[in-house]
Amino acid sequence: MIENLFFQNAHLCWPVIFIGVVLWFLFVWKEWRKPLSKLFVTSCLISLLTIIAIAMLALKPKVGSLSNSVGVVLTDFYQEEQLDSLMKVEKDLKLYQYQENLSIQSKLDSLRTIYVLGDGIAPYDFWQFENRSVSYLSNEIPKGVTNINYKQINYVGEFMIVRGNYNVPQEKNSIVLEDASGKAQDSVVFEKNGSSNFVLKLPLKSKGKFVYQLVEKDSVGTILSKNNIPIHVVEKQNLQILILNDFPSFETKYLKNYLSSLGHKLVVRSQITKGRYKFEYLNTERTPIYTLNRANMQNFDLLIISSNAYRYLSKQTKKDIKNAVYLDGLGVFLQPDASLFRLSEESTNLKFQPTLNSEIVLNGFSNQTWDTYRYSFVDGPRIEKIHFNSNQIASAYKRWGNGRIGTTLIQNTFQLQLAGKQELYRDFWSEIISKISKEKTIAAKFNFSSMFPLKDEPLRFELNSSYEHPNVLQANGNLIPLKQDIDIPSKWEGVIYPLSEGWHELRLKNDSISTATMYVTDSISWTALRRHEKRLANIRLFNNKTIVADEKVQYKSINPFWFFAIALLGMGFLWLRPKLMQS
Amino acid sequence: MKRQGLEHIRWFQKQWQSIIVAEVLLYALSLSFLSYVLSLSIVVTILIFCGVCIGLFLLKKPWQFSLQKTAQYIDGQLDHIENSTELFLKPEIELTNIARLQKIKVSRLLQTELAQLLPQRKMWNSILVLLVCLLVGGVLLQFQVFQKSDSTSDFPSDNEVIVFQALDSVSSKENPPQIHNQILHITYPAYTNLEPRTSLDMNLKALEGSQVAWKLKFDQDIDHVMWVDENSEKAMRLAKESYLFQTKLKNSHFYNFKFKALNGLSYLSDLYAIEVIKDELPAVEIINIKQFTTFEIGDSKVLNFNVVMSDDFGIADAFIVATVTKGEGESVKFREERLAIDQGFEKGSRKLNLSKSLDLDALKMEAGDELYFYVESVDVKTPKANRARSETFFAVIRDTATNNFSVEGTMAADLMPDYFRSQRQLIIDTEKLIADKNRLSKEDFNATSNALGYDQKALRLKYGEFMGDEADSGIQVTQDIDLETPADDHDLLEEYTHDHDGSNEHNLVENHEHDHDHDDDTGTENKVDPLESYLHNHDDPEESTLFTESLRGKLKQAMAEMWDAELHLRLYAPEKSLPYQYRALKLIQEIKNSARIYVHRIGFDPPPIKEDKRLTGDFTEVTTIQNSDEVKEPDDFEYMRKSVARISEIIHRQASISQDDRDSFAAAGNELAVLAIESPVKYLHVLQELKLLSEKHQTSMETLKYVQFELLNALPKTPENPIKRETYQNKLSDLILKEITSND
Repeated sequence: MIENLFFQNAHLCWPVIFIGVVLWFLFVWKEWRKPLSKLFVTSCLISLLTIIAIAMLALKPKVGSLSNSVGVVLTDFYQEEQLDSLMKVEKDLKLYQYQENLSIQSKLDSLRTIYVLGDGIAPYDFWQFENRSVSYLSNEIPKGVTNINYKQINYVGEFMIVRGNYNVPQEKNSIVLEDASGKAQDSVVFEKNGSSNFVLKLPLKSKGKFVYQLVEKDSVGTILSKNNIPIHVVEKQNLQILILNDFPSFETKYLKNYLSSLGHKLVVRSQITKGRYKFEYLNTERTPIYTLNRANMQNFDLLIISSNAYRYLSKQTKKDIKNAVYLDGLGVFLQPDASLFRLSEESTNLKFQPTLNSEIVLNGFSNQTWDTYRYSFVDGPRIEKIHFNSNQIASAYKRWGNGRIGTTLIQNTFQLQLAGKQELYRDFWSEIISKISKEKTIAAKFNFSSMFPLKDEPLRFELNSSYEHPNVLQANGNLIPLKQDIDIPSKWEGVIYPLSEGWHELRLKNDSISTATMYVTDSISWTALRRHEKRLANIRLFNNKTIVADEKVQYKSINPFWFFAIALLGMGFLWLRPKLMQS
Repeated sequence: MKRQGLEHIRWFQKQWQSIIVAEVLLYALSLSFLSYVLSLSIVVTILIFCGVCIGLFLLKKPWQFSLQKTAQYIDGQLDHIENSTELFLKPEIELTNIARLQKIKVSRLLQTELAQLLPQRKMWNSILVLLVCLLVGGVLLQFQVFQKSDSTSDFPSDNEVIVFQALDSVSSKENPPQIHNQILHITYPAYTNLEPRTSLDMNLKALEGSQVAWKLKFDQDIDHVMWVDENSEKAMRLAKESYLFQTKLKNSHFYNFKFKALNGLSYLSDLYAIEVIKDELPAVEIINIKQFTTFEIGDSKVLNFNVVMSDDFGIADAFIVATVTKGEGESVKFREERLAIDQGFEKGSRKLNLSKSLDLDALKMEAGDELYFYVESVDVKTPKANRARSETFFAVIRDTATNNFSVEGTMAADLMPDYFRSQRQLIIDTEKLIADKNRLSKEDFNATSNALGYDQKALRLKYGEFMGDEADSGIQVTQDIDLETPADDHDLLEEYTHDHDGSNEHNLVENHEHDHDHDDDTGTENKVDPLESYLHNHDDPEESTLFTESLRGKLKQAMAEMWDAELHLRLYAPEKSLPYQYRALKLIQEIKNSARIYVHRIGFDPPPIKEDKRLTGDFTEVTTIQNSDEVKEPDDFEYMRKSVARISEIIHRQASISQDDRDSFAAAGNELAVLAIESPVKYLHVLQELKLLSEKHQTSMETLKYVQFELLNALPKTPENPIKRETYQNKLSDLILKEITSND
């Protein structure tokens, strides 16, 4: 019992005891000086009691008792049936309505077990439920778009691909991607017993920030829900490419024309004869390159070199290329020819095996048969495929430090252009070149916790930055406090509370390039998705770890009236006794 | 008394007549009013009025109402007059006393009852009809049921009237100037003979070269009006309170009006499209004649044919262009003549069907000459007329004096040997021999067969030469074949030898640089200089030939067939030889056909190889070349893309539209106009909004968003383009990469 007692004003404990003891001794000494009466001992005891009662008034003692009650926190969209079942099992059930942002903590203190019903607790209120024994009885997955995936930052000329999942679609209902003026760009109609997944595509034609709408319609075209799809389209950065050939080839000619027409900067060197070259500088200034070294390769993002030319490079040049790839992140694309398969494995890190096929159909290009060398890549853990089918890898690359080296086994792709299949040709090469080229290293990268943040709700973000002390500013110039990761010093965390809907921007102080944009949506958008996400977060938090809370002790303060009464009676007795004794 | 009675009757007659006239006129008026409502033409209305009047007058005949008739009518109508009206018409003297009494009595009655007898109800009927017609016609006129669409009224209907929008939102409170009247006047080019047209609709579609004049009148005085198209702004001229502007149509585009009110505010109208129709090319066709016509030298050499021509605005001129060729090969001569089509040709006709005859003799054509002709027609378009020509037709006067074989008329040089004919000759001879078998002696038969075999050999050898064969897989011809032939047959053999086969030899080998005779000297040549056959590259049958690869295969096959044919001929079995000969002939025919393709290939003349420089390893003249070029393809929609991005910025930052933005919107409008001309329905509205954006100072966010997404939709897809991706590297990712690649 005594362990269940504690004082609310425990910090006053020693002074109170000291004063109490002094007082009592004074009283005893005063009584002692008088002729000892019969009631001396009684008086001393009563005075002690009175002093203790007054001390208790100051110290405010509390007494703990074990709590056994069970509570239910009802959140949005809870199911009555679940509550009824719970009530049947637990007799003395206490019900609490959960409201976001309001404290419920004190009410939970008296509960041994807590059940959460409905969509769950908002993640920013989880702290109130920490270290409590909570069971989350989840709802069913809400109807609507419960999963969405697309890149919010895209490049001009690419397709924005929106993949998503619609939970329990109605037959003939459709999902339409619309622009702000309500024009449909792409749509999917759900079939009976069909997949609930959908993919929508949108060609991106200009840079800018746009808000598209993902509209859910029923079979007669009535709009059931509208969700914002914000995208930020940025301009592409041109590549600097060096092409080295030991003789001019058609493949190079067409590749060169294709890349230069899109504005990429090219230096093409074809050997005419020993020591004589033909240099072509497309969209770039004249800087002849006779010998390759790490310094002059630093300007380039990609080196396209014919396998035969690569084969006869000097040892030093090969070492320089390797360094440029390893350390500077250069991409190397080996143009295939017969000598590719005679290159030693250590010089390229790529392994090939002979096959019987001279033609191949690639995944993603199902209508086209491609001419290939009678070889295939040997698949390995570090081979990263670009073009392939189930049996064979036709184009692939491997990482070499920061850079990449890769090749393709498809030949005569220029014939596609002659056959009028420009689109196919472009798709093929742009994929290879994008994947192998050097990547631009950025100084800071932001990651937001939510794709669709809401106004006035906390939005967590993670910042990876190479700066020692990054300062993140909002558009209005407010500085946002950051928390550094304990293990990775370049990782920081912060929280913002967007004040309005629309586009928002975060930027780094002293670095105008490193910015992050996000779109704060209205609260009607993505309700199903948000509900589902909240549900999942609750399941993750409450149902994966079972916190068996210690037996809950509930502390109650003792009503000070009793102490007051004791003190009053005690003092009354001590005051009245001499008077009564005299008379 | 008498007079009184008579006067009454006269009065009645006059009244009656005038009622009928009034009735007729009222009916005519009703009908003519209705006809005006229907036709809206005064002439038609008057005609109908007159017609109806005449018709009804003829029907009613009011002039025939004499006093006599009137009296009879009154008698018939009023019983208590007791048929006494006529008494008034008779002179007093002729009347008996009773009659006079009766007359007096009736006279009183007439006085009171005649007025009631008048057919007034008929007039009321006609008035009612008139009222009904007026009502119906009035309603129809009010709702313009029969209003013609191209009414020349100067008051445009609501959807045609030019609507101006203020470029400054403040002005909306004031009373802005409005269009009072608007006219578009189109004058077609003179050659079209089309009447000028006026229109109230500002969207116009007219022929290229038409003069278009706009006339605008405002209800208030304004400062100035501009006529704006994508390239320029032109001030409209003020004349008699109207603003005028005229231009000549060259190409399809959009335009609008812009004016400045006296209070300094600017207004901009909607966009209107000018669609220019091009004058079509005349169509010319020659009919009733075959593409190739051949005449014998003795025929009457007249070509009869019809020329059918048509054009949308008329044909100004037409003529036959005839080219006569004389001679052949390198000595061919051309003569071109222009022959007018005079007969029946009417300048400016839209459709013509003329018959024409060409006399080849008049063109001074001789045997072997060829005529190519076509008809060219020119339309009336000015300043630059459209021209069109028909297909070319051919006529040849056959020359029986020469019968040169030619493989292909267009060949510059005839490289094919005459031997190709010989296989057919051989077949004919062989068939003749088989047919004559019974009549010939065995010796003669055998000798002829052998002779044919010899010819077959000669033919084969000639082909061998073409192949460059000197000893073709054992089919080499040696002298010993002659040994097989009986000595006494030698004359016969010569007799059947096709001499022309040999005589054409020089033609055959002129491109073939063999300077030795294979027929005779192959054996000895090998003996004399065995190395020579190795040195001469073209001795190799795979290398030296006039023919391409596929041709060689066929030729070889043909020679094998000939070899078999010869074998059977030599064995005196011409029947067995025939199938081989036919097969050989078929193959040779095929070779002939493929030669047509081959001929075009010999046109290539490779540059001469400088033998003295070859393989010397001298690079002094070979230098490193450096070319630099800017080859980025220009973007046709640069400003449209810029505008989309800029609008996105404006919306995002709530920025205001600067002058630079307006310029870029105007440029984007010009880019979009190119697309809008192709499909105006799709882009006209956004083009209009864009135009307003480029002029106005303030606009709503909705309009900006609308323009932005419409521009995005109008933009074509950009080609797939490799990108430079972004990456963030920190110590952790570096460590991972290092760990992964550590095995290499």
